[in-house]
Amino acid sequence: MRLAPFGAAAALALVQALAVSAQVGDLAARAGPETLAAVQGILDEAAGDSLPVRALESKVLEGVAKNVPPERIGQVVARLAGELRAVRAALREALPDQPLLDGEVVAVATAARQGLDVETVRPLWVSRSEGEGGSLEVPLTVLGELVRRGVPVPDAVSLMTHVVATSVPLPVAAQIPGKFDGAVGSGASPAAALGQALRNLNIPDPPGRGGNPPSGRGRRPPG
Amino acid sequence: MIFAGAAGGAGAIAFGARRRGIAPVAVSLLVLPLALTAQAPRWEVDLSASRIEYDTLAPLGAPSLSALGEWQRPSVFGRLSGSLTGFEGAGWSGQVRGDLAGWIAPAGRGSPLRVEFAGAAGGARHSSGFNSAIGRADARLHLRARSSGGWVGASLASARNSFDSASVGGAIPSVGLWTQTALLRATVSVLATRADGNTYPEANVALSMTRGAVDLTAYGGLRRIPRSLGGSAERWAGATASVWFDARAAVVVSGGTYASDVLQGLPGGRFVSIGVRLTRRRARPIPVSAQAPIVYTPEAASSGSIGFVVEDAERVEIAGDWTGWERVPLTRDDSGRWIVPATLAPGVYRFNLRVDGERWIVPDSVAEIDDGYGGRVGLLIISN
Repeated sequence: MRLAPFGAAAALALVQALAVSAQVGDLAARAGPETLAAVQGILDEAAGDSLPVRALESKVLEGVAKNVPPERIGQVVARLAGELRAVRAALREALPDQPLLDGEVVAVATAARQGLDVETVRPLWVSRSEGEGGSLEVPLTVLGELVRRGVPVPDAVSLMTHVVATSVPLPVAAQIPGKFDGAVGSGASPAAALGQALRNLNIPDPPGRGGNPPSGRGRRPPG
Repeated sequence: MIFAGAAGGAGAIAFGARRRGIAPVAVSLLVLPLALTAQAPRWEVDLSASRIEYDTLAPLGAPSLSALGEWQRPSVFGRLSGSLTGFEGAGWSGQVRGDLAGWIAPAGRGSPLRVEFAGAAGGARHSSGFNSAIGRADARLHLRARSSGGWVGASLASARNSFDSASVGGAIPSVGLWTQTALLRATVSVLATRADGNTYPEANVALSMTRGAVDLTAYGGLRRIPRSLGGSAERWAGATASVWFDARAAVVVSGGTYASDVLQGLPGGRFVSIGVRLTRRRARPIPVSAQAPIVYTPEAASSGSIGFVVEDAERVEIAGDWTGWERVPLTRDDSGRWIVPATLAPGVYRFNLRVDGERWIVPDSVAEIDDGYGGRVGLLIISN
């Protein structure tokens, strides 16, 4: 078992927990008694199951900010807790030796809403083991966004797996959906648009894809 | 007989007043660009003076008061417009029209495929007692990309006027293409109105530009008249310039010719018009295009580099995971972007912008997901 990914993951988890805990307002002070009554049981149970409670609290506050009725907030938070619970269990089963960050669990739950399941995104964890480690939250989010924008799931997974394995810098990798969108806007098919996006960002094509020979390791092109 | 000149007189006045020189497209199709966003309700009031010369009448002076209201959501669009026009020694005329359009994405929001359904109803009444009405229903299949698209569709319309007790129905197949840059939007369409056993094929082009304080629109069209009705061709063209001397007011100048109305049997004409437009906020014909990055560096987050363009906003707030979903006011920089005052650790944050205290939006091109509450929530990605 490699310890480096665990250390990096733990450090990231700590940073994120500190950041979010400092920023998320006091739920009890912000939500009214009816909303608290609707969600408190869900949050307590989620905490007992080691789910990303901050994400659930934030969803409560989002509903409060948007003037959503307490009953509806309770339904939405319960649904989200159910999704997180299912994702976490599936990840634990598929990746028993991998550390799981809250952000990654949330990102997989988000990707699931785009039609991706745990088994589909599993190669990213395998690639992380081969690469430099680090949180998969951003790659998973970009993956979901690619699928939302019309990239076929196998192409999107192949690409993001490659990005993680070759340690393409995240600021570069995360530009892929935007570049892809621009290429589609110019009339390219999704597959061709993906190729154009990769070339624009100087990211080598994943194995199995045609196109230009690798010309860099994710560095931004000159100029 | 349903072609130009059938109504004449008061009918021509009634119809011409509706055009009053600001008809943006020769055909009355309301074709959505299908890139709608949730916008604040829009209204405009125009006060103008026109000189109108119908094909069947001598030139007339015509002061006019007109109003337009629009309501827009990402997949629904509604518009109500009307006008009241006085004619030099020829009474007055009032018109009203309502449009409702919406689209669905049968293959998912990521797909370029959209199905649009639209309907419109309108009527006109002249002080002489003449009146007319028209209703139409449209269905169109769109393929759209970020800056271009096309559609194929068909419409059914029915019209009547007080000179003829029988209503006239028509079927109107159409195809069209549009493209848009930061400055120019162009639409080309071809359609054929089939009514009373005749077919009137026509082609239309419409251009919209915006540059600084000036909005320009222009249109042109060509229609072939069936041989049984003479076999000639009808042409029309016109342009409108709106010069905004304030965020809420513009001088509007327009002129040109407009087409006859095949279904209502109203003649075409020529016009020149000048007026003042008052509105709550300027609505540009070409929406400001915002290309937000998908990801930001922590340095960008702490240096005031995260900013979003929000069309026609006077006040923008941000709320997200990192604010505990409390709204934080944003300030606008010199380039018009609303700057996010936040220092964020690497990660993915959910957020929305609140515009003018009345609508939650996700900025254009930002990653987004369903928020579970019936709307969308953006994803602000901060890299390591």
